[in-house]
Amino acid sequence: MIIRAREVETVSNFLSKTVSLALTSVLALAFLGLEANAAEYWLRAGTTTLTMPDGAVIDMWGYGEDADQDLSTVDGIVTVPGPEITVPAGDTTLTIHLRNDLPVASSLMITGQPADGTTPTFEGGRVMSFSDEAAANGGTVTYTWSNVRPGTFLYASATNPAVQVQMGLYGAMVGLLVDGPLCEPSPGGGTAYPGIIFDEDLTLLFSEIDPALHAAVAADDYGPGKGTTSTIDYNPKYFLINGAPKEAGSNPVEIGTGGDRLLIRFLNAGLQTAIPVIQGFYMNIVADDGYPTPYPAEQYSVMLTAGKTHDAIFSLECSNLPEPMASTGNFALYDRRAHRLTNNDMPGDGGMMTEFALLDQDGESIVDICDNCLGVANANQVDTDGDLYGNICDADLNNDQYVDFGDVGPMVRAFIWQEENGDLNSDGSVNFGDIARFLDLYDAPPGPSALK
Amino acid sequence: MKTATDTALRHVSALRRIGISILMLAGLLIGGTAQAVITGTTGVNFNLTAKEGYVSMGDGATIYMWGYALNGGPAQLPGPTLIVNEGDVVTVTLTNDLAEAVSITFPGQADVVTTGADSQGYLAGEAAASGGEVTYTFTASNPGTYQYHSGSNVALQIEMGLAGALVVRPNAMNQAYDSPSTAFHQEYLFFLQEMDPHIHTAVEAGETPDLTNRQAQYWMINGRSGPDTFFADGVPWLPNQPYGAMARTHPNEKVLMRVVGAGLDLHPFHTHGQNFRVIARDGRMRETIPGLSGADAGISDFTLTVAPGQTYDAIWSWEGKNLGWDIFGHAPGDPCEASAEECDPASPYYDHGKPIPVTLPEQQFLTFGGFWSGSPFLGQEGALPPGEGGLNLDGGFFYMWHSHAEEELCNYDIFPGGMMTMMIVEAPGVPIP
Repeated sequence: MIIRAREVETVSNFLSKTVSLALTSVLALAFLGLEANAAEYWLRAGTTTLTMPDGAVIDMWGYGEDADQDLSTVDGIVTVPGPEITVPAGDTTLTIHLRNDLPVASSLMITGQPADGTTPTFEGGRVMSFSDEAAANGGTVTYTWSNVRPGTFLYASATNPAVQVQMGLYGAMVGLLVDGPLCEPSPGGGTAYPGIIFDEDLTLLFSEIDPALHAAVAADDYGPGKGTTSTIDYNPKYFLINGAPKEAGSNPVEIGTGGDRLLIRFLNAGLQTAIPVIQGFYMNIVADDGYPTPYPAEQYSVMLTAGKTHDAIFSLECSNLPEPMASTGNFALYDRRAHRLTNNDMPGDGGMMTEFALLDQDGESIVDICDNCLGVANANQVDTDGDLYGNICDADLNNDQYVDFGDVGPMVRAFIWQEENGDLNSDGSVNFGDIARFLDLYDAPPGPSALK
Repeated sequence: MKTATDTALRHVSALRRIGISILMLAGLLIGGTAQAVITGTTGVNFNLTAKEGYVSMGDGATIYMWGYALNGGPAQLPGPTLIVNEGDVVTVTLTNDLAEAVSITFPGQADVVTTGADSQGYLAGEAAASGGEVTYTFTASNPGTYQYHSGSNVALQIEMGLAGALVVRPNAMNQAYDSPSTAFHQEYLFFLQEMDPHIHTAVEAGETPDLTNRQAQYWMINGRSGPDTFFADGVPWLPNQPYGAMARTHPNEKVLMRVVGAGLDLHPFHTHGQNFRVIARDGRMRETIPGLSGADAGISDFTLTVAPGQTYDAIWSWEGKNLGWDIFGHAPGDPCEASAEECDPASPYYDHGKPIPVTLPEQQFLTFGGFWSGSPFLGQEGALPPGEGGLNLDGGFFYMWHSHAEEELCNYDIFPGGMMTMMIVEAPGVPIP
């Protein structure tokens, strides 16, 4: 049932989609570009804690989205990484209001997106921050980017980055070129770059924690003349994807809900290089630091140096699935710098690993993207007429793509002559159970099937 | 060890599958010259055993390690280089002599079917400790350079040495991929790893190793640290490290570099002599138009950033162009050996018969090394004082190829050593290997 797609085929599919939709995107942009809108966020820099699998409680700094969009009060939950900043297609301006509840001055910058009119701050001739700062303990600042570039970018503190970034002051900024697929509407999809259209996107943000450094900062024991004077002994013990290390019982990330084009946005907010490897698939790496690359690079790995972003897209078509995954649906993504696949030397796997689970919503051990009838468990996948709609979803017996009066005659004939294509529920005979199913499916197109 | 018979068998099998006489003719023509072939084990069924062993480093240290062994032989660093042909159904049976569960994962290979696994590791089905067995089967659908490594307790087991190379040859001979743009004359494997001996010592002593304080002290190419990289394949005093890393070629030939990042750190692998051009990464050609353009999207560079888990194919060629003197040491009346261009006054290669434009100093003003043949001309030898030279019997040019992170040119802080080998450009006619 599963056809082994070869890479050439995969790439040509990818390219044909790319080329045909690139033109459409450009046209759409021409319309969308006429109206300038603005995205606006209210963020708060503050403290929080993360509990590691070995029970260690780590003091973190992070960003939270202010719940009432009023920075005069303290509300909203501080997270690591911070909230994802999204800029809808057509928006040309992004505004971020930042309140700083940390005990030191702080700030925010988006690498690769120059903010309007900000200036570095200096103290005694030394640069302290690459952007405007909010004063400690409640100071505020507002940043505006009036020429936002779509793509995947990292935002982080611009103040004393050696300390503040690794404390947790980082997050992803995602700007879309076009909201939603143009030709095949599916919720959550969009166009990331010219011609790079996805049905589903995932952000994977890599970072690390050196608990000794966090403890020193939290105890006000970091700085000139204090117990820890620099980050020169940086030695991380915990390695995170989206703020969490792998641990026993970690839930897999569910994918495969929309269409088959999955875009992964890789960001590295850590201070070390990570090499994410995806098991069983090749990805097309299509962007580097938020800029599209001239040619897609087909790889199973991504060289993700500190501060880097890469976007990779790959096909989750059923024909592209390695065999065991069509039934089990799980595959791994892991940092190939394998000595970091640990949680502070605890026994067992840890660190920067995540598992993806392809959804099987009807539970028949055939993942949705390989299922010829979605929403109804049909483990046998019987499809008598071979039209890629499983019988249980296919009352369109005359194959005119709609179940209507024209199918009644064939159904009656199948009932009388016990023709297999009328055995919708695959119980071995065409009986009243199949008639009932036929009526359920009446006056609708056949399906849904992921194979069509 | 790969023998001439293995090589011949591989060629015969490739030709049978192609069955095109014109290619056979081309094969005979190319096959007529000596050619370096990567040492490894060919076939479609491989029996590997994960077991303990000891490796020898360039400073004389002996380090405990875990490695994959072939057919019950000694544990190897790296594991046996598996050489298969495009389309082969490959079966790898793994027996585990170690005291913890072990496995193999094949990055870049789809459809790996695991049978007989005793347990499920994070990345692969496992063979149980002390005698377990597991079998992996996959179709080597795409030609290229790949690696395999443990999929169990990967934080430790890759460091301990459980990794090896997989080469999938395309249907066409003397090409890296199914495109003439990847043709080569010589090919070499550069399998880059590093190790922290303190982790190995702790494991040998039965202690819990400290992985988050890992600090590598030895850096290897094909399992050996310099200067052991210069020794031939299979020398008896390195029983656990059967693969040498010395590369040789002739002027103007295309050398295929198959580079594998197999350790846990990045390495800037640097070629002297000339730039290389990257033609593939992770076993896929760099193409501007996939399936049509050939390997035309790669860049020309002299330092390759080799990241763990990734593989790279690159073509390097030493042309000796624009030198202004005849690298072959020809007299003006000699035949034009390398190409017609060397005798064409309009060509930048027009060096035929031009002498080296310096007067050589007297010997008492020279510092010698083992690689100095006594003559600056390729393929020539000259007078040497007693006790000098001796390592360059064919009068070749030696170029060091190495990690350019200079600390990696050491064996536990002792320079020189580490991730370093030589490329020798030999005069035309010098047999290779």
